[in-house]
Amino acid sequence: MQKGLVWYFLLWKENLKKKTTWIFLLAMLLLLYLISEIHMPSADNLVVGFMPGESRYGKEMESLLTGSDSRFKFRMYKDKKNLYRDVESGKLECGFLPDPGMDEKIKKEDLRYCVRYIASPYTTKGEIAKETVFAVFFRLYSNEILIGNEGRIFGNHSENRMKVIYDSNVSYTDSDFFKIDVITVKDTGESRQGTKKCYPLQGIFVLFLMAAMYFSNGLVYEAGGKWVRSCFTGTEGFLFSLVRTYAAVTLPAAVGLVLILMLPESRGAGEETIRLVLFLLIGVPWTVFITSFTHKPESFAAFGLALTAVSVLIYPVFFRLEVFLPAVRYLSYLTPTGIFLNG
Amino acid sequence: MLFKFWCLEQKRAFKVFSKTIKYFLSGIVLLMAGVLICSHIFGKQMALKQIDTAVVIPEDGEELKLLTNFASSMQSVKSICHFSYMSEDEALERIKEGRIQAALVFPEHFYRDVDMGRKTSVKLYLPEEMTTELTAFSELLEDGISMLWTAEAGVFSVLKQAGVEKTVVPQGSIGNEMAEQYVKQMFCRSDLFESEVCSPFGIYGQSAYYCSTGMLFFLLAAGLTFFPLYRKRERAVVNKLTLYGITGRTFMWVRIVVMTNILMLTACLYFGAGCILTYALDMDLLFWDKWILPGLYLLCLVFAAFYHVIYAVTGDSFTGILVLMAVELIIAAGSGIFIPLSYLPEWMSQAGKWLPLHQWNMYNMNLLFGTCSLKNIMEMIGWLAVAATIGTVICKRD
Repeated sequence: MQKGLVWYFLLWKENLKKKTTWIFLLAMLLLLYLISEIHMPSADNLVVGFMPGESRYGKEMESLLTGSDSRFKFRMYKDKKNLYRDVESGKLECGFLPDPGMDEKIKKEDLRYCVRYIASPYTTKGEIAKETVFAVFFRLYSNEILIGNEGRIFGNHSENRMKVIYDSNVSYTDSDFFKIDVITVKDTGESRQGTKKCYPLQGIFVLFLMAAMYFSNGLVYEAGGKWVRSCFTGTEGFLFSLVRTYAAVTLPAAVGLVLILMLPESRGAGEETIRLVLFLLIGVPWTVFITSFTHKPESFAAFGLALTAVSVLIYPVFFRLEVFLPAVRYLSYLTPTGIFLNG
Repeated sequence: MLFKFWCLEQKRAFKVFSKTIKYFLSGIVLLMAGVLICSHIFGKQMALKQIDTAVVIPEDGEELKLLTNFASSMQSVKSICHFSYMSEDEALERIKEGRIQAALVFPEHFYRDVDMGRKTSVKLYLPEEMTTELTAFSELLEDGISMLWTAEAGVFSVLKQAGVEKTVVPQGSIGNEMAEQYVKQMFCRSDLFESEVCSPFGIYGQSAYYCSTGMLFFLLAAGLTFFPLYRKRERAVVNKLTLYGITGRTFMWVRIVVMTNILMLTACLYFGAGCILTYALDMDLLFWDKWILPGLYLLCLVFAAFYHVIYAVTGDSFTGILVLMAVELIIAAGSGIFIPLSYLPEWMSQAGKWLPLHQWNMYNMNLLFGTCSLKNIMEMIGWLAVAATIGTVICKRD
């Protein structure tokens, strides 16, 4: 035990002096931060952008959309560039931009292309958002239809008559002559809500730790590293490999845990700490065991990289393969990474 | 002597590459299969699922059935729901069983009541659990009712005034003529919108973007096989090579060319496979052009120069793999190789445009799918010069 502790501290100090240790740590922290900041388009996004511009119609549509009971959340923009950027990045489902010359076009009864509709390749509810915007526009345009037909129906134009017609129109529009009664029904079918969560941050963190644990056992293949196999025999050699792996993984594990706990995606201090401790207790001997099967540096390196690639697939890092292959979940429990990630 | 040395290094590199590549390829093939599966899963999850909607129409509702049939053929309605006609009891039963997701029940004399301006309402049965699709369907229904009521309000307000004043148009025709004006606008509502698609993948589209990043990914993975070339040689060997005039800088360029040739082989295999798939599946993806091969050689040269820098900086060849992997992951993620730059925060997206992999990806996309400009080529030569300079400095230091 004392021998193990001495080895641990000596190897830990040696690791701290290597520049590759710090480059690796920095890379892990940068990647975790990067992943925490990524925003992807979502099918549940109901935020729609609208830039009213300078036209009268645009401003009136803005006030109607803002005050409406629409299920879409309309976000108003003053800058076209920001609207385009947010549609492209998936923050908005889609965007609408009334033409600056809309008022003149409507006076000439030319409604073509009065509103620019901006969508991304992942927009799914754009057609419905268009109906919502048209419904609001139609309420305003109704006045143009009334004034446009007044002369034909009554034979002349009268301001007083138009005022009466407008007032009647507003009164009818705001009335509740026609409504929908929504009745909820209890259904006994399966839940339609989304699948279980993935853990991209925790997944990347533990994959980095796994890589650090695995490649720290590559000392034996490096120049001047053959003494590891010849100096130790039997259990002493295994103990040395364990201690060396723990020494290599201590710093990234501690720093990574602190970062994960600070992020909102954390599963809680207690749960994250317990899972990490379990992962290290099981994962280090597991890694030392599997590295004992390779005997050449090329196969050691290639196996390590293939293991990392497969890990991204079978563990719920970015997606759950078990949606397609349920057996994957049970297979993943056979490894320490699966125990850390599977909720 | 230099040529012989280059042949020896090339043979050594090929040997190492052939030993390790089968393991990398199996990992890469598994990862590509996983990416295809996950993109299929994501595609299903991100698409709006059509909901089954029951429509209950009273016995005297012939006009209503015409209206609902017409509504169900509209693009916005088709994208979100599919109508089936049934009785109210059957509709309720199916909602409880989860076989349908919504039911729209029209009361008796609905059409007549709306026509005469009498109060009426429609029942909408929904399950307790509201999904995005049901939310979108409810929104669509409200929009339809809003448009219908705007038209009705306009018609009634004119009819009300026509009731107290003399009109040119016969009283009996005013309602229909006004309704016609409103319905005409409703039918032509899609003309109001001018569509524009802003893609995070730029001008080339998603398939071209990921085809290009796939090639870069293969080159990144292939670079990891070169670490045995950087194992420290014995002093005696180094001294002998120096006697033959093979200095540090010569070593550097020989290694770079050796790695370039292997990367070029990988790139050609990828490009060839892409062309065969394009032809076999009748896609619009990769096509042969005489300038692609020299362009790819320049790309591989730049990659090789950077591998040399990383392996030379890390010194120790085994931990060099770990560092190379971590650096590749960071730069790849920040350059928009896995996820487009638009999905990253604003400042990262701006910074990512300056990262080498992003510029190499733009160069590769222009080379494979568009036109490679002189500016693109000069940028690549610039990166090669940067890597060569750093490599030379490291040589002098060693």
